[in-house]
Amino acid sequence: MSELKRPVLPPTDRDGRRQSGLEKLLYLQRALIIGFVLAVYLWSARGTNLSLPELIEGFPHMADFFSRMLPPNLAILKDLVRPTVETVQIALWGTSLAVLLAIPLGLLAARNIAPHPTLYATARFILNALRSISEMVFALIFVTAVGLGPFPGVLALAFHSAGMLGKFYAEAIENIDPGVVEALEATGAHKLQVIAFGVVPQVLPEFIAYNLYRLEHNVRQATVLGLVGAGGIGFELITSMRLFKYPDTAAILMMILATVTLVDYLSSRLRARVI
Amino acid sequence: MKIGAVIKISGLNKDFPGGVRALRGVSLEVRAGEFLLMLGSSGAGKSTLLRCINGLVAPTSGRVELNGVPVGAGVKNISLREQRKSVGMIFQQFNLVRRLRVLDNVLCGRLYYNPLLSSCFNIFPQRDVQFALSCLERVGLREKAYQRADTLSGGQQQRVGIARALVQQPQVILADEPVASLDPKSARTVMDILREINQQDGITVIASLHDVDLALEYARRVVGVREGAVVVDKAAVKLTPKDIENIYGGAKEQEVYDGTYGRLEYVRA
Ligand SMILES: Nc1ncnc2c1ncn2[C@@H]1O[C@H](COP(=O)(O)OP(=O)(O)OP(=O)(O)O)[C@@H](O)[C@H]1O
Ligand SMILES: [Mg+2]
Repeated sequence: MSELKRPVLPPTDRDGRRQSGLEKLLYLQRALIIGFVLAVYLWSARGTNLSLPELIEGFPHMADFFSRMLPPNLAILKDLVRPTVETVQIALWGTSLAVLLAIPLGLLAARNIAPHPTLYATARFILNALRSISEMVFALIFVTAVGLGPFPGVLALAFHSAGMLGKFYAEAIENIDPGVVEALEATGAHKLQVIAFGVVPQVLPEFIAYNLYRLEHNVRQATVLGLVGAGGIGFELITSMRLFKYPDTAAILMMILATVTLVDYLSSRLRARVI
Repeated sequence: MKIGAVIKISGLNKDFPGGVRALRGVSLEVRAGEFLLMLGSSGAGKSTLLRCINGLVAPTSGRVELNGVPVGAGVKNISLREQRKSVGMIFQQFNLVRRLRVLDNVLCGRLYYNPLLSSCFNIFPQRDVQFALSCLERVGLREKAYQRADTLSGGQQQRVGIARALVQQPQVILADEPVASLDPKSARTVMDILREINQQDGITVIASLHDVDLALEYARRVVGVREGAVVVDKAAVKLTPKDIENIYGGAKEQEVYDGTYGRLEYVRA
């Protein structure tokens, strides 16, 4: 009969500092990594003209700028209503179109659902491409393609967000319980029925939460689309600054703050209800 | 084809990537109405064998025939889905859609029979709903129909799993360790239901079990699987202790199932 070996915790090293050659090497490796990371940071600081003295010197200028914003020109608030509403409308449509685009892409980009490896790879590639191009770059492209206005803004949000959402969907789908999918396949159900009953109920809470997060993000994003002529309150913002109407700028910032806060609040209330 | 053989397995081999040989030359014939229990230690290949029967696992070589038609080969215009429809399956982990109601879970067994579009939106004909309710009645859960599936106990969830298989109007029910996650009392209830549908409806039942005593009590035929091969195949009443030894790898080690924690323990004999 063989004895079962009991696991034993080795005793502490009472002599303290004694290190094996391997341990010394590991310390050296760690020191090298820390040194390398520090070097990268210092190098990047030079590349970006990071400078504490300059920041301190800049304080009076900033104070001067902020003082010229006061008091905010509240008289223009009523003229800001229309661009503010437009900003939210852009975000709403941008997000919704993104969801529609992202659903098929997300399904194809989920390893456990994708019908074919080629489709899987293609969907992954498209999602990566959409994500790597930011909203502002898309906005510039669409403004050039379809002209100034909120519509290119909607398209810009839709395309970039589709990349983000599709990736999230795919990850959520890859994390579902495969047993349920298998059980449904075993009943003779069609692939689409398996998705409707096995996948959708499992990912629905996450799906809704991601979409609401994205809507919040897109409202913030839509406030700057106007800088490149893609609609929304950003146009008022850049105009007021170009004309040095800083009290107007202050009023616009207040409006943006209020809108974003309200949308975030409503959205988080909704999210809390679905989870 | 021999008359009465629902399932005919011949020369079945399965190699998984990574060099695991899960099945080696399995041949087995199951006649309509049999109640067959499969025994074997962990990793013997029981699940793999069951999953080859409904095409969840594609064998490396050999074949499985359902009513004389090879599974998943698309022969005689019979699709894999159509074959799966006639084979219900229940699982150790129940595999219900947790967030859906019990009734919706049972209706999943009717998906094959219904149009794609409406069924995807959870719209089923009234007669399917009635049938699903009566299958729930059959497993004693009619009054739970409108609760969420994950509010039920394990034993109740497994009975929902059986109802989901029943609404498929299957010829065969495959059960992969249907009671391994259940307490002894619920395990008995589930085994009783399986025996009842086998005897009353003539549905062929093939189940894998860990518990030898339970198997001997319910089985009419016992198949022992060891290292991917069938080593015992005989009527339950004729089973000898020697056979059990043979299935579980001789006198040195015996596998004992610990029902409370749902895990295996190796006990020195
Ligand atoms: N998808 C897979 N990929 C690789 N190897 C697998 C896979 N499924 C099963 N195997 C291997 O095949 C062998 C048989 O597994 P199987 O699940 O059929 O055994 P089992 O008899 O059902 O065991 P248990 O009683 O633990 O459920 C095991 O060695 C297992 O590791
Ligand atoms: Mg198994």
